[in-house]
Amino acid sequence: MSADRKTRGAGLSLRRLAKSYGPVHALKEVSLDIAPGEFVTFLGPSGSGKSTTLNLISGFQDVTSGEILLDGTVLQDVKPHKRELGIVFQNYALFPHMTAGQNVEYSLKQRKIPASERKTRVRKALESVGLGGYGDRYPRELSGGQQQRVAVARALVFEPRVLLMDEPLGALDRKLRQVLQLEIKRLHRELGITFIFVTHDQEEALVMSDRIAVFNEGLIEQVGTASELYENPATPFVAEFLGETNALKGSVQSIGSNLLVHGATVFRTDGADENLPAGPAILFVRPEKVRLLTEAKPVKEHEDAVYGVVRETVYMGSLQKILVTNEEGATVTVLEATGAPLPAIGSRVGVAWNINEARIISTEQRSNSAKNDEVVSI
Amino acid sequence: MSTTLSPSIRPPSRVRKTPFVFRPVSLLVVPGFAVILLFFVYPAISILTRAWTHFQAPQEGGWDNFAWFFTEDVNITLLLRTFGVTLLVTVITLILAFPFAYLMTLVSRRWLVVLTTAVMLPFFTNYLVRIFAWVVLLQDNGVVNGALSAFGIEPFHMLGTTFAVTIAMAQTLLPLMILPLYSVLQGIDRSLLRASESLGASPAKSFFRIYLPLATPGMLAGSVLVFVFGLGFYLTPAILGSPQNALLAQQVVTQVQDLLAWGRGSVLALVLLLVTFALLAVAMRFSRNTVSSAYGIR
Amino acid sequence: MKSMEKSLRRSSPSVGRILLAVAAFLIAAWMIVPTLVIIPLSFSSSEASFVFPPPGWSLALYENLSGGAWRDAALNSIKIAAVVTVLTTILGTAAALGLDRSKFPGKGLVTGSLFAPLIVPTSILAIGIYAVFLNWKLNGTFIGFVLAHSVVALPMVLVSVSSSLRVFDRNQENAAASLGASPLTTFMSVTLPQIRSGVVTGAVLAFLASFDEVVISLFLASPRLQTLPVLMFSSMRRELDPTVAAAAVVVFALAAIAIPIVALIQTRNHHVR
Repeated sequence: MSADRKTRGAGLSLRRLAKSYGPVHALKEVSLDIAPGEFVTFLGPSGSGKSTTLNLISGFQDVTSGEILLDGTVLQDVKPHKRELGIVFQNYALFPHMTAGQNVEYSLKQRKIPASERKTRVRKALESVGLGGYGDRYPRELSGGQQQRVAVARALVFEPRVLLMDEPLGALDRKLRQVLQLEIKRLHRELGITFIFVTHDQEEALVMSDRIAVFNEGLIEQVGTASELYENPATPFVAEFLGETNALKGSVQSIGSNLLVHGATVFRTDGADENLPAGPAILFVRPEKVRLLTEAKPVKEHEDAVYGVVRETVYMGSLQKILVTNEEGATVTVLEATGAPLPAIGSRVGVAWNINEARIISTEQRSNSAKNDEVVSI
Repeated sequence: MSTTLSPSIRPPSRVRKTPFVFRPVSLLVVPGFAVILLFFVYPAISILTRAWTHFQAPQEGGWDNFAWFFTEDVNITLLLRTFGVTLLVTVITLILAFPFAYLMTLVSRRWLVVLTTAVMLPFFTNYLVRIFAWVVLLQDNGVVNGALSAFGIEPFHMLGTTFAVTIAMAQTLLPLMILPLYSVLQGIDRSLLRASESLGASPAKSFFRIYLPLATPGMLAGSVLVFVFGLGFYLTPAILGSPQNALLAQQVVTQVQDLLAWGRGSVLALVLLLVTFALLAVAMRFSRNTVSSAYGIR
Repeated sequence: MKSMEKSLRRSSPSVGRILLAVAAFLIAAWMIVPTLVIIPLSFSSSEASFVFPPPGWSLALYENLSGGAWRDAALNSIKIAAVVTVLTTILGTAAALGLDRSKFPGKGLVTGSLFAPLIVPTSILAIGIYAVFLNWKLNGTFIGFVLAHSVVALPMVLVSVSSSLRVFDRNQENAAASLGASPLTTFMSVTLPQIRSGVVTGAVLAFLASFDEVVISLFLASPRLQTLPVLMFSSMRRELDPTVAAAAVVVFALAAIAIPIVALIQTRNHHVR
């Protein structure tokens, strides 16, 4: 209605939000503050609670306990059709018996907006997603990407202050997904409203979001910007879910140390993880931070190394990958720019990384998130 | 050539007509078709042509049987009564089938089996058995009148009335409404209702604006099926009704069997058949279009 | 997502849903319960007429059923239905395959007439067959019953087998052929096992179609050759023989056996959303 509304999104707060179906806790307890105009992604595997959270916000499921606040007012008692949230559904949920234009017009009709104004707004909405002139087509006459755009236009045309998107790009191929990711980012920038985007695709989350909330088993493991999550994962799950990583399992021997004992080797970190409790823990280091030791470049003072046998080498175009397995059976992946000669499979090599790049994360407090007993490389 | 390919790669036959190539496999149709030809097509044609060959005095030939049909008031009354009863049965079954089929789309798999069985049981039960049960229930000293008098309501005569025929027909035909309706309803994506609500429509409005239009092909298919089968009902009106309020199919038999008026029976049969096929043709064209436009099926 | 929606329904049964369930329960009851009245009636001791509730209990009606005209009629029905089932299952399956695999001029007309007996009112069918069979001297004969019943049973097999052929992936036959199987071997070892549910359903439906057939049989029946439904019809309309209750229960039990088979096959192919 006012210009203010058009340019500013609403803030959304989840306070100790929980959802259970009888004995099953789909969402254990989630608290999160989303600032007006922010682009937040809920990232997690299926069944992690991200879609449940979205359904609680949209009102299609009842809250078991906790609160949802929209700009400070309690939302969960409001009926779904009174919440004024724009939603883009997983498979778009376009009305098959209405044209693209009628789909977009639908919300305006519910709001008793006069026909002439409806017409302009529908046209503008379709144009804003690059579908001007497609108003008379039925959904079945549109490609997957076009249907997706209609769904976005339909969700935005009544100027909601928050837009929820539930895996909106899941059904599309990779190329198209990348195009639409950028378009959605552009829309967010132009509209300035709050976007909540649900996905299980970590790459998508990294590309699009201001902040990412990583969901796992009904809890938020960590909230932060893409680089925070990538470089300083708080839990083994976050480390493994975002990007590729090497994980070396071991144990921290005494409280307050930053040393991880892995078989006969002791790994160090730069001290950022100072207050590690004693007990099982995993050391994570990104493959691109690991280098192959050569005679010309032996291991340095501030580096830790692993020695083992080359199990596999992969040529990937601009990058190449070397998988090295040590005596403990742990595999370390090295990712480097193409050019250096690939070592022979079966040959003995050493790999090393700067101790600044390594993170040790205790598996004690979140025993359930690191289910793998084996040392894994993802 | 292209006919030997699997259906998915077969080119659309309308675009380029493939020349007819005889394939031995088509001979498999012959024995079955011969049975149908000899014992269905031939009998049907030979009976229908009797409308022009068999006459009751004072009629003599040509179109006299048709003239008889259109000039006798009883025939018009018969036609209207048949349409009326069948339409009423169609409406009753539609009203009852909708909530039932709708529930079928909501329940778990186990309950779906239960509900499907509840539909199938009457569907597979012999007509005579069901009609017999209604005779027992509706007879003058039957269960229904017994229950009515327990509530202080005067027992009344139900057997031999259109009321009894309607009730029994509706019960018999209900599965024919539920099954096609369910198959359409279960194809409706329920997230459309959520989408509608997220756009500001109340649940009731969402139901009428989104769900009902998408359910229309199913309601139509079920209605046509019930109406067409209802028109041809013979046993139910013959046993539960009376000759005074006979329905069309019943009258076909009466003319032939009791009055030996083959020509008149044939005219009635022709009328019945024409109405049946006309309805089916219209409905098939219409419902195939609506179904395909709703779901994007070719 | 799917399991979640299911449990969502479990956790929040709204008033609307409860009303819906109650309505559906009443409708299901209306479909099934009235018919059940025949069960107590069949154990009635009253030989008079259809008195309900029965004045006393006995197996007298079942004894009636197991002898005399009732027994003959029941045996006739079973014999006719058995022959019809074998005949139409073979012819129907063959025809379904032929229609599925070939194109020929007039195919639409052939298909249409194969399915037409499902749509044409049985009373018209009955007088037509009666008239023709009078000339052919087939009225009142076993073979006459079998042929007439085959007309209504054949489309049942055709519908059922055709629908299972539609979901059958024919590339499998090409695969079998590429592995060296002859067309017959391919059919027996690859195609038939996969369309078996359709063939079995078709056979069950064909048996019921013949066993339950009334209207045509009424015209074909002679005092020497009657089927169970014919006898039931005449005892309901004219003789008021209460043995019909016992006969009805037996026929009803047949349906009760057929349904689980068909329902199982039906729901196996059903996609739960």
